[in-house]
Amino acid sequence: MSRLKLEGLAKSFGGVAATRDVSLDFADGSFSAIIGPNGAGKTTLFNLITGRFPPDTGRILLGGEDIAGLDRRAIVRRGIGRAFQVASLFPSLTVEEALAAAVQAHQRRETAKLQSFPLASSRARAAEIMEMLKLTSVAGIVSRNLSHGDQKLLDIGLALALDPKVLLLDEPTAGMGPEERWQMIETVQALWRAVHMTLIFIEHDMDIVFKVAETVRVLSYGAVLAEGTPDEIRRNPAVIEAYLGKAAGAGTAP
Amino acid sequence: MDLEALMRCLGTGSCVVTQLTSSLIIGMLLFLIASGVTLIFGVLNITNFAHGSLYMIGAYVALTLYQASGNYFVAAIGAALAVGLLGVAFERLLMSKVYGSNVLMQLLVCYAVILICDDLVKIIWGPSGLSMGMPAEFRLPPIRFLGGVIPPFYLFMIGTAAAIGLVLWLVIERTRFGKVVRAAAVNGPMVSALGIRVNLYYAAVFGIGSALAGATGAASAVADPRHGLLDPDRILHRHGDRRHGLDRRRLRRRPADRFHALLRQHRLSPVRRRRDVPVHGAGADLQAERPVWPAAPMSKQIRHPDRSAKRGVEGPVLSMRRQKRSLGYAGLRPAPLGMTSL
Amino acid sequence: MTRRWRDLGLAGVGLVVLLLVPLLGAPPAIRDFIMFAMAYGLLAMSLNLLIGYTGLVSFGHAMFFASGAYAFGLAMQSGKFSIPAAFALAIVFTAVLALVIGAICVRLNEIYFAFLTLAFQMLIYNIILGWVSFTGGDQGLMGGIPRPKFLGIDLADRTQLYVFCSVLFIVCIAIMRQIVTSPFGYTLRLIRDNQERAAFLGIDVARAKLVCFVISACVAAVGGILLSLFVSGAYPNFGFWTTSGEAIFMILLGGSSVFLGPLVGTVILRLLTDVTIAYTSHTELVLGIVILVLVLGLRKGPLDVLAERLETRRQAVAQKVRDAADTEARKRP
Repeated sequence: MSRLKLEGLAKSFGGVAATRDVSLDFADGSFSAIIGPNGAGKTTLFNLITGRFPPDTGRILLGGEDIAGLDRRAIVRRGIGRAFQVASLFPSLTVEEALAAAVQAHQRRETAKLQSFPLASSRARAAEIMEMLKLTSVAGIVSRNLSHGDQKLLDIGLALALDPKVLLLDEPTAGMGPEERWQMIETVQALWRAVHMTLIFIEHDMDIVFKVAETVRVLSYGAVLAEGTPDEIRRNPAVIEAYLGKAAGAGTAP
Repeated sequence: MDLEALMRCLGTGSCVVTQLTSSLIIGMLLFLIASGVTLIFGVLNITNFAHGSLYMIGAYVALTLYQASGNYFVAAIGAALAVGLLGVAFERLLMSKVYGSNVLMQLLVCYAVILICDDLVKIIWGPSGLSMGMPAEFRLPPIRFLGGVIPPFYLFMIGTAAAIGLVLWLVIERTRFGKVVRAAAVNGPMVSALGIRVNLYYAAVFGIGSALAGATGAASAVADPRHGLLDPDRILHRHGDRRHGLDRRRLRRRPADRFHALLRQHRLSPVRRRRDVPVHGAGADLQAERPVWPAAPMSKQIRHPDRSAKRGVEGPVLSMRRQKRSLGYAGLRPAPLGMTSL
Repeated sequence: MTRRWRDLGLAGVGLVVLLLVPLLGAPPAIRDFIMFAMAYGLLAMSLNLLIGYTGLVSFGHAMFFASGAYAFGLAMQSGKFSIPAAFALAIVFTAVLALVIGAICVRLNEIYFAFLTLAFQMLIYNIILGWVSFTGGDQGLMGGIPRPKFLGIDLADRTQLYVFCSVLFIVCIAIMRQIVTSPFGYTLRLIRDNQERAAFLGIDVARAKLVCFVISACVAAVGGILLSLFVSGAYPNFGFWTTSGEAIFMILLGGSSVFLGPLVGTVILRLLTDVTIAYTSHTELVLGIVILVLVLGLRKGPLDVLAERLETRRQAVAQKVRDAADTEARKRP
């Protein structure tokens, strides 16, 4: 069953076609990766899906409903969550406060003026999220003082607070050392197993991608180059040429 | 707004000409100040809230230089230079420290400078308004046009302002200096990385903007048909005017900026004031001799000399500062704290 | 819950302290000083709701100070309203005004919001100044403000006026405290910290800002009403840009990150002005220099600096605790 389906999406900025006729289908509950060289239009795709700007043409079907062109709040309310390449946090709030505030926004109680913050329900849910992301030990730390890895986890947590059906992660392991990357992707995987959602992530670390992703989609110059299982992609000659790099010794001139 | 007076005026050619020229003058003055502020905002991305104070200082300096030298051109150019240098000092010493900060800090620094300039001007030149009168070079017979009279100074002003606008545009668009300035407006650190000492350009831009304010002050000291005088508090009002129509992408002074200034001036137009516009040239000598009323902080440009005579007694209870301000202008000391209650 | 009880308790203590002042026979000068501080304090605190908690820097907040004062004064002078009715009228009027102005302004960002509020303020100021037949122009509302008795309270009596103002003041502070510690308050903080992300959380940012703007305007109007009762009149410079500037300076002096910071700033500023006046008539010069020193030197209010030091110390302690726990955990196999 398809949870998210993109049909013929296209978007240009000025004369530059960032996205050209992209059609992709993400099954419900799948764990897929989007890869491709820089400038391939991966983040633009995420921006289109989350409604940051409307596509020039094409449809975005979320569970059958076309959400292309809807404003951001409506899209968020329909269950699309997103984490950013550079963690987009609330610097002066502690981890617990930020998560509780995000949860209360999801519960549509963010304009309550007569109660005291945090609301009991928000606090409970925030504690759950911290538990899932192993952030409980830093609950009282102000966001701007967190380590880089914790910041990225908090970023994911803020997206999780919205109970998303589709979670988009933009380079979750960027800027981390080798060991940390694996920890991060394992946390993400554990998350995906615990909560039923469709998870799509952009990655540049091929080891991680080929190890954990169920399906891989390759974008290049705004269009879909290939899609399939990690093994298929790894052997796909077009992908090797465009992105992975030619295997040493095969067909290279001296 | 007095509609009958407006209708009566539109009927006669002389009144129309007079109104148009006064309007053009005010518009030109606003245009010059606005260009200065826009230049600074466009390149340095700071709002020079204290621009009005520079304008005020320009007027006072021009007055002093004129009284010292007897030559208006010396006074005007001297004022522009002096204020330009002051602007550079202001930028290097104060504003550069708050470049990255949020607008609150910039506002406070400018607010502090306004307060300081306000008091310094009062200390140096006294609290009452001063009048320059028509400078000797322009005491020429007024030019007759369509039944109305135009003082030659007005024509000179309009021409000079247009010329300044043109020169500014040429400098920004056609010279290397202008090119660097435009680049610095977009990406200062990058320009610096190319080996150009960007800070000097920032200071220069601020200096040019301030010089514009100073020159406007020098012109306004003579030509403002409403006062012919220098009221420190009017400056702040000017600032509110100037800010509208500012567009940071508009580094060039296009005719549109001038139009905005013209639109704004209608609030200041003499038709609203219900009295005749004093005409420089013909009545200039009389105008110069008239002692100008003491400036008071509460009322703004809509002031009548007869009304100010009535304002002897303030309302019964005032805050300390307001009381001090109003009495201070009359040379009295403010009442001690205990007397502020009923 | 405990925090709320603590806050209410502090409010009660504050009220008691305020009420003790006339009872202990303090000279009228002190009482007057406190009245000024209360009126301007409400202006500064309400502005901090916008600046410190929502990140909306408004240059024109004094317009609501003036609108409250003038609406109340005019209503009372008309003779058709009792004091509570005029009070309600003034607040409602200001709320509607803020709704209209806010709807236009909140959609803009930072610098444009700041200057548009300034423009509106100067517009209102000039209306007050120009509409001489209605508002008295630059002389202010003439003839004083009549104070008929209501509910057995006679505001012509200075002590009763003081008590009335103190109670209103504490009530307003308590209301603001409630807003700031409510879920809505944290929504405002989200908007201040990262407006984009807040929108990504599904928050209606423009609506939240507008609501904050209106609430803040109403509290400022209460401050204006208090001042107008005190000076028995309303003057155009209640709505002049320098009043807004002073309010911003009070926030800086006291610190915008601490709840009562602006109130502390108000007291400091008034003390500074009163002390300076005693020695020289050049208060503006002194004030300007003080502002420069603070802005360029400290870059934030003294209370902010204090709060930051406390926070760093607290975080350092928490860090030490965590490190200790870590080493313990590592020792175990």
